[in-house]
Amino acid sequence: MAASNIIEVTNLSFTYPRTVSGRAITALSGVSLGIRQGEMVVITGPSGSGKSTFCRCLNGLIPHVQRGSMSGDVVVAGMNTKNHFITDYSPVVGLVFQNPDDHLVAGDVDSEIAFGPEQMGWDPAAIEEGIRTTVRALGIGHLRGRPVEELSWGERQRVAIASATVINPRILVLDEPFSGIDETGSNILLNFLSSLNADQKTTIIIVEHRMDRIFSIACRMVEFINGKIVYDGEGSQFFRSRRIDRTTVQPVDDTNYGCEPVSGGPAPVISLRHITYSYPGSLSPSLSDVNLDFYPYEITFIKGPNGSGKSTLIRHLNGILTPDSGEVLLLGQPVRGKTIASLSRTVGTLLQHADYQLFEETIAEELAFAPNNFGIPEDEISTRSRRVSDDLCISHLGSGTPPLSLSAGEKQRVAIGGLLMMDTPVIAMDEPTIGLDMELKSRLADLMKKYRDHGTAVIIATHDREFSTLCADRIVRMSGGSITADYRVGNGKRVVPQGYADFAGSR
Amino acid sequence: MFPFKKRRSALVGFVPGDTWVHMLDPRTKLFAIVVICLATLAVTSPSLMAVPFLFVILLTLVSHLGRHLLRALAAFSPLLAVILILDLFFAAVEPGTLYASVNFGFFTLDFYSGRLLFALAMGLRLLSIAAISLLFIMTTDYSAFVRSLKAMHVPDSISFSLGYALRSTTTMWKDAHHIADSQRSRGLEFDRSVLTKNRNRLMALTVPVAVSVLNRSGKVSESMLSRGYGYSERPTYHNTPEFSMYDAILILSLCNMLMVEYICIIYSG
Repeated sequence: MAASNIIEVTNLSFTYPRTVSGRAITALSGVSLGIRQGEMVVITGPSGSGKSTFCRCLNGLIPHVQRGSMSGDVVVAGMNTKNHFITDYSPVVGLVFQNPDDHLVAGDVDSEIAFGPEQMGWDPAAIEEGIRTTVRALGIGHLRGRPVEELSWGERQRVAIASATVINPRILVLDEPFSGIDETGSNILLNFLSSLNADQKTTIIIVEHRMDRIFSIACRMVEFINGKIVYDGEGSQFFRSRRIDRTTVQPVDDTNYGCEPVSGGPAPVISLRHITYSYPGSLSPSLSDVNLDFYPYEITFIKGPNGSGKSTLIRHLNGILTPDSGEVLLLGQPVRGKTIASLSRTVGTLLQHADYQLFEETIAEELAFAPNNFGIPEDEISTRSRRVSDDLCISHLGSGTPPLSLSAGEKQRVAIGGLLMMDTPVIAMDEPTIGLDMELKSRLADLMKKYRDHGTAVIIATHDREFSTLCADRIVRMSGGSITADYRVGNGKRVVPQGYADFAGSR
Repeated sequence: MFPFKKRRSALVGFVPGDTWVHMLDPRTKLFAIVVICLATLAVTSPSLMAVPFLFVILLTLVSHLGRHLLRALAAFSPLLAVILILDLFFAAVEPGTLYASVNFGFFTLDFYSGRLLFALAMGLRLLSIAAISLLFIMTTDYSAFVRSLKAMHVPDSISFSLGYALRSTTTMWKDAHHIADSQRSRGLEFDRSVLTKNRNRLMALTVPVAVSVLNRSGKVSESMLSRGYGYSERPTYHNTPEFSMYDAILILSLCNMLMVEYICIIYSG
């Protein structure tokens, strides 16, 4: 081991146990890597390339908790993970999981952040000081005292990061920390990580797909493909070799687009009229007098900060939530009184968290779930299944593989596949790009354009600027449960083919 | 429609609030459960049983959780009905006066005054115990509960396990919501009539929820280990639970209630 390396990984391989389909996944294969104290390392690579597995090796979760076969050595802060238990690493390594729900263990924000210091026997005054400093640095002071269950995905992600950093670990490992965080939160987090690295010489390892987020801080890049390191070097060289520069990774701020306010045009597929909705026990409404129309032949992006009401809006489109006042019109007809299942024949909805979208034993059954409910013939299901699997690059996963055994990005693609199998005239998706690398995002964007060109109304709620730059026709901005902006991007023209009038009838 | 379509709060789970019942030390609330159980188990007279029952109603009103509690109790109503019917017709107590008799050909149902009073008392007992237990779950934050158990020197493994069980009442409900929403969004009809006719559809929800709960417990334990659980032999507390004036008032009231009931038992022979 090099004297100055705080992390020394030598010839590390890891294979997950065989699934019921008999498939054993080799996640890491002969990985060797040394990381010095105070380095800022960004790990990237396609979805399912072993990045998250590598992170779990750094604090002993592999081999002590995760079943599977491991070979090679991981030495962190002088301790070999084979000889030291996870607890020994807890003051040294702060690990933030990809899904904040996997990370949070307490009931409210204060208790959550206090958990680590409490377990390490900190003095109560020191714990309070630690919480205060951390929440200030991460800009989440307003979340103090709130129940964790009430927070949005992005807010929970920031609390998870706070709970890992409050103990001032020498090594901070963050698995896709920007995936659900809004623009402002991301900038605060970037500044926070930069100052941690510069002032306290904390070694920071970030697993991230979003180049726009990490471009400015990626001093060293490590790229994984199929469980192997294919690039390990300077960030600038990595970006140069892939022809990525500041202009390509920093999408043009869509507020600067030549834009045109939305008005007129063909009849909308879905209309929201004066929608107001409050969650039970909530003091302020999550949606407040929202008026919106969604059109065919158009990809609409709904954007806004964490907790602005994007997911709540998506959940109104197919009747999962019923508004306190106002009404939702689908093809001009009120949806009130109709079941979600019947509405789903027109509005296909992908909710947040792939884990909740996958409930069948195999990928094949998962894809066939909705068509079976719609009574679609077997041969048609097979045809759609092949098409969707090819479109989303999930054919190689094997139709008999259990969806929950996949990586985050693979799960996300299977969940999207389940939605596309429905072949509905409206597609609504909430944060569909979590876990997807740039290539897959680009592929998904092309796919959405294809659906758009066939007359589908596509509605996407996301923070992902890269993705919206790839395919947005229209941007709707939300803040505090209200619409603050609604405009078309690009040339502001929507091309509607002849025969649009027959659209509603034909679908 | 499926009962949780309109509103999204858990049937049984923590309901955030700032009433003084919410702010009570969880240990005081545990003490209240024990006292209410004792007070209802010690007597069989409906009039005496009404005392702890009214006490629970008072606590419910103060906590502003009447609607939530009624909704949760409604879910237990079939079980309550079965127990009441069994007590009404088959309880091994002095039957008393025969009020009415209904003949069904092969058997006769007799309504006796003694069994009616006994069934009423049992109903009040069950309602009191169920209501105070639900009130504890609905007003006690998971973290506060764990802290108070640890303050009582309950071993960490037991404190966290009990706390996690309490938290699971909420998270399991939410998981079920998310999964059911997702399934309905993909065309699965979840109307209650369909569920009773087709058990496979109920299984389609039950199995993923069970898998989700198991997965989550595994992930939470990984997170706890990663964040230092077990690192120090003497963990500290950020907020040490403290008894407030409200705790003292409730404990005194509970003791008074027990005393009054004891005096009544003695005087009534």
